[in-house]
Amino acid sequence: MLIKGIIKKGAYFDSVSLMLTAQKASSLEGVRECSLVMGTNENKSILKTSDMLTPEFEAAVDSDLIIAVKAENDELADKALAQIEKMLKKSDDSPQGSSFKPRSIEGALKVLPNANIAIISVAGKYAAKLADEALDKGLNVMLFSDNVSVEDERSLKLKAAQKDLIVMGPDCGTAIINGVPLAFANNVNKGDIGCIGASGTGLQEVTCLVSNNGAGISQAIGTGGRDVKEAIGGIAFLQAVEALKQDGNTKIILLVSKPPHKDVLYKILESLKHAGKPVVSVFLGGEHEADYGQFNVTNCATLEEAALRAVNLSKNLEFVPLNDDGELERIAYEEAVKLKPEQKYLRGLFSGGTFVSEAQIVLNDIGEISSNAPMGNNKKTDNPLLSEGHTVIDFGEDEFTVGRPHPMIDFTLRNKRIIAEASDGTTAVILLDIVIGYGANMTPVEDIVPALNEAKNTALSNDRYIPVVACVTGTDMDPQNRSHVVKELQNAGVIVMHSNAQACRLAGKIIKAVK
Amino acid sequence: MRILSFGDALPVKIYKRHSSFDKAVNFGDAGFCVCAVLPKVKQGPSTIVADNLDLFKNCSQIEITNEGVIINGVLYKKPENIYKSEILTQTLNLKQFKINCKNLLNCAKSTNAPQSLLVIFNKSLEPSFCNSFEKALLARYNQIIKEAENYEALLNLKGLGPGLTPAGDDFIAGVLTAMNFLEKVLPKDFKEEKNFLYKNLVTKNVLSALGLKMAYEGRVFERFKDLICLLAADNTADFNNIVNDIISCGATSGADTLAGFIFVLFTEVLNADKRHN
Repeated sequence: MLIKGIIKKGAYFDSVSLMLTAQKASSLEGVRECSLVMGTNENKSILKTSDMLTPEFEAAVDSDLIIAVKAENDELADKALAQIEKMLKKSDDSPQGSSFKPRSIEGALKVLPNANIAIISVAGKYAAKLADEALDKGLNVMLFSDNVSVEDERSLKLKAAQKDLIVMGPDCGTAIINGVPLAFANNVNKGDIGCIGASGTGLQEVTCLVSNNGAGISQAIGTGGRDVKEAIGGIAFLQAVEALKQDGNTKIILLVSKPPHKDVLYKILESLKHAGKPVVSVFLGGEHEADYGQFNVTNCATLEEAALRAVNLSKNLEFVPLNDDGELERIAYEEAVKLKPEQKYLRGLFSGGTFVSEAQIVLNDIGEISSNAPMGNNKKTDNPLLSEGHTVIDFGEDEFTVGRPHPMIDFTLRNKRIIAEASDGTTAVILLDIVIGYGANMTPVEDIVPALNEAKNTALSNDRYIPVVACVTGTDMDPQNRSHVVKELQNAGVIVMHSNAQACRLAGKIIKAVK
Repeated sequence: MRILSFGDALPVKIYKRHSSFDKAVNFGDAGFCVCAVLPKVKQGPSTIVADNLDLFKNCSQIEITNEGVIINGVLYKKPENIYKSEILTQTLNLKQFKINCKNLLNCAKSTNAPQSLLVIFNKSLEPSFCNSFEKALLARYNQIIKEAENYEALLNLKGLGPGLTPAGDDFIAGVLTAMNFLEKVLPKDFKEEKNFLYKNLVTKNVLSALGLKMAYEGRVFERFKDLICLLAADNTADFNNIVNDIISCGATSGADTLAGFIFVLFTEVLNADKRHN
């Protein structure tokens, strides 16, 4: 290992850029460690303590930036430094706009007078007012922002309904309208299955499974997670149902949500009774008993089942349940025999909240699960940074995301956790989701594979093996290309399943096989 | 472009362009810095808030006058309401104040701010210091805090840590802000400690220097003004939103400044005989 670096004199990069660049640089080929710090005497002393100080750095002063790299050899160090300079330059390039950048909805409409949707992603305290303004201008609204009050949400949605407009959100991260993916969404086949989701990742999973199984999507309307609660009463959800009933391109309706309030559920089912189109639903973890058949709705237990049922309806085929038990038992056995007796626990590390819910449902027979987003009788974890027993973590929860990019974009915290779980002698299987598509991490393989390799080596150095089971939510038409991501993960030793539910089933079988 | 807010501590003179980021453009002269920022960054004593920064990004200097700011020969007037940055003297309900300080401390203890100095209150952040530099840095933070028998010893944090403004500098800015706050609301006098810290904290980093100067002078940025209002209120406050807002500043700057602020509150209000946990 050698230390090499450069001093950038009087160079000013904002702290977040410095942090992100240092993180990316640490995963460059041959780089063991990277530090980007101001050249104060105190920081130089820390560099010295951590064996990262070179004589050249002594000349740096407070206002200089030291870039220090610990790499395998000279060539890789030089290559890494060149990459780091490029990354910093990219973050430094201020957009020099000679073209007009509108600063208001009114201004934006002057540029795009035929727009009919406004996507709003500002701080919560400003979002409601902007959404209201958009409605006044006759625009539908996709409200990506969260931290909007219940009262404001209800008021906006009632106003929208009166104007024959819809407010998708708040906290609506996914939609596909007339084939156009919006925000965190995927490039999917166009077809005749219309989806409504009070769950972003849930919508992404079902739309991708539909597309990957040879059918297509007409619309995917997000409503925001709170829409189906009592306070909002399903206003947007019901509007979306009416829209899909009338949409000539939609032949099958697919509903995805966490459990609605029971009154809201009945309103939704009642509105579907005479839809004239087959309806499939999945209300994850729903405890309300409802006679779905009476409303001509087929309710499913998992996102996977709902998507596959919709696909079969689209193709006019009889639904045949997935018969993968035998194959999963075989894989589980092959993995379990490689484990030591003390390896007992499942560690699910997710970027999508809905997958955390689905995991707890599918894995309901492995024993008590701790989670920072527990369902049913599962335990709330005392410390989300530390696993205890079977643990399933949602890295999209506030404790991980304040001041940081979403884990679908920035894998840093989850990567660190993967390595930490590999150091834990009781870890039997690591379960992951990787969500690709627009808005998500554009280099998922480059970002996660080094962490997976380090985890593998950590386990190996302790004479242990830990299977990693994952699903990749996306399609080959996404910028990241699902097949490429799957192949690279498989090359890194990951067992990739075709859906989150299937990945959870396999992980559960490994745990049971170890017992 | 519209000027939305003007700080109350902007000396009248010409400032040359120092640095430019997505949400802020800085102009400096003789160790002082004027920051032109977007509304998201919020108001401050040395800050001009504008609805867009294109003009600032495309000029090499600005001139602050009594009427406003001149950019490329054009005067942009100050709005009528200038941002008031001084901490005001007020009478406290002492019992309520202690409750609020405790709630703020508890909020900090459960806040996720990786690699920040909030680690001195929230040990679960320790694993976020991963590589050898970060681990050495954490050890140094812990050593300084543990061995600090008085506030002057916190000077050892100067220049230490990551970020454009080193974490230790931000921590000390938080300490100075808290000292000025407590002097306004309690019978406390930190003149000696403040003078010692400020006068010995010489740095060539213009942005650090600005933050420290404002803190020393008892001038606060908007987020800390909001925090102080919550602390001093005569009702039990919920600190989650404001803490989240503060720690969203920079990579760790907000969190580091908050750590310094809470350090003083802990020492002077909650636990006069001991230091931190």
